[in-house]
Amino acid sequence: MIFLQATTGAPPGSNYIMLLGTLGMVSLTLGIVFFVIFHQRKVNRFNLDLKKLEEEKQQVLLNASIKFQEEERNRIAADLHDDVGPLLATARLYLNENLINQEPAAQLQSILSAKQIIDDAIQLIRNISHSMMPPTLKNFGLESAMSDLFQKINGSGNINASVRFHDYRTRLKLEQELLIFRIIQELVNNIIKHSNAGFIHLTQNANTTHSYFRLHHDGHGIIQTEFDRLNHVSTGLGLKNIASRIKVLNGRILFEIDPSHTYYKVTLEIPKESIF
Amino acid sequence: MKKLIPILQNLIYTTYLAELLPFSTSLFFLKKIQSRGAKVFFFYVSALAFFLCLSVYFKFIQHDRAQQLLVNRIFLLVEFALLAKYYYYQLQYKHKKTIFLSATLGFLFYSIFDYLTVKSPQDFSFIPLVIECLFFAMVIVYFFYEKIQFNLSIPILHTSEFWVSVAFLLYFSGNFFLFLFSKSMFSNPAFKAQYTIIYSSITIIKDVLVSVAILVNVYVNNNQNRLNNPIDIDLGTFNPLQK
Repeated sequence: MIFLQATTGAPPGSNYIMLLGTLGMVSLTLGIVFFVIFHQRKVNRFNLDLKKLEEEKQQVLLNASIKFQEEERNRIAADLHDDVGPLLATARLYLNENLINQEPAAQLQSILSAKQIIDDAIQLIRNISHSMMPPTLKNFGLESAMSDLFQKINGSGNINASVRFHDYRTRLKLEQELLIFRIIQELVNNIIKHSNAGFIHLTQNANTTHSYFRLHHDGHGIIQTEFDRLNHVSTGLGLKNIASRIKVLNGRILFEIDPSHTYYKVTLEIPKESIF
Repeated sequence: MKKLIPILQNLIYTTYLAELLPFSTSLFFLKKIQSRGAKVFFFYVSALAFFLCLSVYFKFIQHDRAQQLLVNRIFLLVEFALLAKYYYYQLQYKHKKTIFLSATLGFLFYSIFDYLTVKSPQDFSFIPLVIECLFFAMVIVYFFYEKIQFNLSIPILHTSEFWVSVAFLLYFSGNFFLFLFSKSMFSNPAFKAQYTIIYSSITIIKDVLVSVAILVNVYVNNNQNRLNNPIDIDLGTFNPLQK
């Protein structure tokens, strides 16, 4: 308004000021418009790249899970074919047609041998079944299953393993527990195989919405960036399986090193709300 | 200067025709005007066409400059209110209701005050126009800021609001200095010629861009409808239970 009143005198050169002002305003407008268009294009391109990367990651995880399933099937098939198959064939040999013509003592010996072999076969099948779904986990829950696993590790005498569950009054769903068990099992296997650790300690805690599991160890571990990198390379199934299981659980995993650089931490955050 | 007069006359007539372009374009696609913002904008282009006809009537048939200027003043109020309503629907800013309502009321009171204090009915004050230019230039720049912040799902060039905003930002910022100097220099014939050239050029560009906005709205609506169409599979020919 003050400027308006000041111009009422129409000083010489007002024409040029007006022209320059108009040109300046139009250029400014065009500048703003082009900035908005290019900025949005840049952001959209970035989002597309991000989406593409995410899709590639999903593909790698999917391939890993398919490969893992195939390996699991092959292992079960090999166990059945190499162990249970010969045992049953041997039992069949003992119980052949000539058994009826043999002496009663020889018959009894054959039947006892066949029974022993069938018992072995039953035990083998039970072992295969237990490796697929640990019975402790099914019957007594994750806390007992983890304690069982860590006791076995402790029993080897090479590594000091301990478990402490702080708040596990209400059990998660069995599907969730099995996935968490497999993740921790894989992590512990990796620690034993690659880290040369002296101790592994598992702690659990929970709040109203999430359950948290943390593994500490004093060996050579990995941090998050390394985990993300290994997740993208085509070799190695273990970490990809962990990532795909975490995704199924809708949870998060964080690999860290302690600020004192004396031990590594792996933290799992699992929502209590079941998606199964 | 005399050679320029017929050219300027033609430019003025072209501008009148251009002002009718958005209304005539929207008439072709009346059924596609669905959102509340699009409806408000249709009212705006209709008001523009109506007041333009009224203004032409008083100027060329009645030769009544006072009535023509009064029509222009009323249109200015209607334009302010409708554009405020349009941007009220487009923005997400939480205090927008208070701002647009108080701005519209403030503009109404100032326009009445300006009309009552003007020396003669033949005289036209450009100050309300300058205020309108400033206000909407700021609103549109803020609108672009919001678009950068929030809207990433649809390319901005595919939205009619973007083309409307470009048209009005160009119109208001391009005419700002023109209106600012008009009060003191409108008696100067050279300035008048310059005014006609700049104002007409910017107005024609604005009207073309507004028409583009209406066409973009139609294009986006058509594509959305195509996406929502059910896939046409005839299941009647395959019925294993039918003997």
